[in-house]
Amino acid sequence: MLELRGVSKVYGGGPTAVHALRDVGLAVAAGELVAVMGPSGSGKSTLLTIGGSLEDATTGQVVVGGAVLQGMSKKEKARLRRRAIGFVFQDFNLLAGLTAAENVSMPLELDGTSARAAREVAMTALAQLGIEDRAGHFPDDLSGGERQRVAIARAVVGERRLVLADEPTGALDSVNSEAVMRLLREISRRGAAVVVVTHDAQLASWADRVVFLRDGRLVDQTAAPSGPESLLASGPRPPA
Amino acid sequence: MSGSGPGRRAVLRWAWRMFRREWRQQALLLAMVTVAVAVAVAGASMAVNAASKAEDQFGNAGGMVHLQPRDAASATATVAAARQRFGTVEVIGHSAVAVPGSALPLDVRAQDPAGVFGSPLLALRSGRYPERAGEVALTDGPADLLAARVGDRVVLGRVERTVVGRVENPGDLNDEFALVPAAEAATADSLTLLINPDDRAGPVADGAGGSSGINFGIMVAPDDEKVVVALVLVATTLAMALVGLVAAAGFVVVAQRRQRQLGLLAAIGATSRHLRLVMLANGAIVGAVAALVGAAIGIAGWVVATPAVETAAAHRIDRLDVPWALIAECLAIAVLACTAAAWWPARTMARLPVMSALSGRPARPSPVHRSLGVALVLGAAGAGAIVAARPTSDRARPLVLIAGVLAMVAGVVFASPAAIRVLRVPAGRLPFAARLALRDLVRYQARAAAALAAITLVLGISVATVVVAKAGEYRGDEGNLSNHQLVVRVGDPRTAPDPNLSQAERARLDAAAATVTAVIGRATVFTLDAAMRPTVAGDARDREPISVVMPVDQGFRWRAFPAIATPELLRRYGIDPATIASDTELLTSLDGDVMLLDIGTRPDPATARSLVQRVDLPTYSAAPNSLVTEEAMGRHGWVAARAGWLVESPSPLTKDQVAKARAAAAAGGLTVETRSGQDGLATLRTVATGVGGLLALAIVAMTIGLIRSEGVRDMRTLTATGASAGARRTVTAGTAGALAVLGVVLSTAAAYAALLAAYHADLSELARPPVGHLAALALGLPALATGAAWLLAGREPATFARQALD
Repeated sequence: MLELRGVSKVYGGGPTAVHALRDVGLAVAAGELVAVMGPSGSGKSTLLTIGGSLEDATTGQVVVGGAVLQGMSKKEKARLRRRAIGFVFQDFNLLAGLTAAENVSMPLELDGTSARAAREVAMTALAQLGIEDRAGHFPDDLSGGERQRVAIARAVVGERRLVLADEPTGALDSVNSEAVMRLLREISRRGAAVVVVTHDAQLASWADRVVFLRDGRLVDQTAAPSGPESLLASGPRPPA
Repeated sequence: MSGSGPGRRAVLRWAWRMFRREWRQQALLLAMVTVAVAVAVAGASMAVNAASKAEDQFGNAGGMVHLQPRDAASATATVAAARQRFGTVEVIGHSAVAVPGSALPLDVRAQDPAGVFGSPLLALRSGRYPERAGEVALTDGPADLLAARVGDRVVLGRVERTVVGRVENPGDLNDEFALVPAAEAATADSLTLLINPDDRAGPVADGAGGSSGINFGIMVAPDDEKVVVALVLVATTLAMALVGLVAAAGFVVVAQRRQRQLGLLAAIGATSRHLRLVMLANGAIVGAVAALVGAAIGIAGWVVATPAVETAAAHRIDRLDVPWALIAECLAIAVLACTAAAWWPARTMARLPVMSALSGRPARPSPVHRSLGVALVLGAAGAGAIVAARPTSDRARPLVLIAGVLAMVAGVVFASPAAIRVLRVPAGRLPFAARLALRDLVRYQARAAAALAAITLVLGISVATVVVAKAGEYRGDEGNLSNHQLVVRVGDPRTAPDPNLSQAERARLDAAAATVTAVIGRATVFTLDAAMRPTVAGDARDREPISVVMPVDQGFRWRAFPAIATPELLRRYGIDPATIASDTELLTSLDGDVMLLDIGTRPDPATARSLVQRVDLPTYSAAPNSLVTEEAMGRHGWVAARAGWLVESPSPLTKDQVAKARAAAAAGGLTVETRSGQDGLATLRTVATGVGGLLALAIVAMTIGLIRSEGVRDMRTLTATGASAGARRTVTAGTAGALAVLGVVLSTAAAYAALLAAYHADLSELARPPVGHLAALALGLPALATGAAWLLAGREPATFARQALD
């Protein structure tokens, strides 16, 4: 579903150039939940934004659902984000001024679905996340956990096949964090490819695979760990 | 097109919700546009209603004919001929009768109050209309003059009449007359025929006589309303364009505030068009709300101001007679201006990379060399256009002038980013708080430049207005009179002198003038006599003084009323009669191709000329700047009429002397003219300084508030690292002060560049700068902005926790 082939990203130029990603290769299949871990500045978020077409790779190739992003126009990328890619951000990023249902239905409406039909789909998504009773509330009236669920609903609404979550639990307590990861797990089981950036090893244990980044390089990939404690005990392995 | 229909509706809905949610953040913007719309609406209503309409002069008629028949039989024949030519004709009779205590004769008017054409020209205020011979209804003026109330008896032209009512002409409240029954028109001195010129009147309107052989000079009802409407629309468009420029600064800030939300919208698939639409919709919503509120305020203001407008316009006005179509056009212009103002920030936001928008990073400042180049080209083109427009000459070209001014305004807009970038230079040498303030302005170049352009525009208008008002002030040798002089006139200034005054009457006037002169103290008096065409004694209708005019196109432009060159006046101005050529008709200090005009002879402007000799006479407009020679008087058969007296004091006249002179003049039936104080220009300078300064302060406040709210994280960091309230105050005050100083410098430079172009023919006009007002702007505004920012800033950030949800 998502494939990064030799992707590098450089910000700036000359002596002040910052290499955010260096020759990263990663493939995420449909139905797979991948956690990306690494220290601050290792390039986790950059990997996510490049995979989600929000930024362009300096070199390398990014393929989403078989479509190569390089060479796509801004309009085509926007269409791809409306139809195939869903984002979940750490700080919720709901549109103030729109209700929960309207936030969820927005990508569909942007894509041409009528407001009524989009709302029906949005209500279904909210119901799957257990917050259909909060559909008419504005973001200011929702708790942190509810906001993040609304954001997840917006990310998956309309049969999205790729969900990219950047520290989705960063602003939540442990109970809500577990709930969010459970939701993402459920989404992947329904066939979507899910990539989650997280610092939390315990939450990463929900993933099918954990990818480690350091200084922009992919330094390790693990299979599903038996538990977060075992992951911490073993530590990252050197690249093969 | 902005994407699919549902998509457009979705982003429009969001824009509307955001406006409802955050309208307070745009309150200043809303207030500014609302005030502009209110002024436009009230102004449009006033302009249209204050303008004289055809109905005010012609009633329901399409034209009018003035006749002065020789006798009653002639009048009857003329009216019959008119009826034959035009069908329905309404006859109004006029007889001029003298009224004790008034220099002006009273018009005794014979008119049918229910006349088919003239009824709108009459209104009954109390009592009833006169119906029988011996009855009269008076307007306020003659009623006060005669101290007559309803039921009293008055004598008008040796006829005693009973006052039965109080009337007025709703179309001209200055029209004073005594209304008598329409039947008395048959014996009137002159007639006004109200007609409706149709196809049959075509040849007559050209002056042909028709079968009756009588010539009718028809005055056709003018249609000035279209001109007024066009002028109002042009003025509204220009004003809204300026308001739009100021609003653009506000929309830049709004766009920055919504940057992360717009980034999120892009992240979930919104296209650039969707993003632009959000901002454009916000502009349109602000414009529409301001238009609605402003229209309500403007109409309310119009209703309140109607009595004052009635008085000023001198005709009755219906409060409900609001030009709705014109107002709708003004409102549409307001909405369009606001939408256009939001376009640039919308474009900038739509071009911002999604991750930059999401992270809240300001857009990288664009290079300024290109915009500076455009600014220089526009400035040069604007200055060139202003020079070509010749605004200070008689042949100014308004459209070229407007184009030039707009080009210079655009030049200022393009120069603003470079001006902001200049702040980088001093920033490095300043203490950290001031350095941070200046660097923040450079960092947020887009919004700072937009705000600077708006401040510059507002201050530039103020500076230009102040300087022009100063340049328009009379110099010592300009104006109507010097401050040592006054002119005592016979009667009202509009009244032509009477060449047929009796010796006794002339002596009485001289005595009255001597009384006026006496209150001045030591003064020299010169008699001013006007040259007149001989007229029949007692007939004021053809009295026209000989004028000094300049032939232009197909007519003449009036320049002055000349006095007769008496020996005493020639001595006063040191003119040796021996130096005057024997055939000279006019001695004058006026420049240009001037000549004497006796309007009664109807000369041809193309060929008429006088023998003119330039002499060293005063350049004041009311002092004798032109003298008619005795040679001309004799050659043309003109006669002298006592017009007034020039009184010269060895010292400037005091207010007390002028007041006493006026009182003495009024007692003797005379009027006094003194040097115009031009208080209006002084008031204009003060108002322009005040309004410009306040508007600029408001824009500075808006910008500072928004820049600092964006920099709230910096403030938290500063506070956390131990910065005192003083440091926080310095940051905010430095930002405000820097913007104000840049605005003052740029606006003064731009205004003077435009004024130098405008006054290039005579730069000495600009040699007397309004130092006080300019200093108030140049020093007062930065000081006020800095001081206010210092006082209002410094509060510790309310929370060090996470930022509130956007």
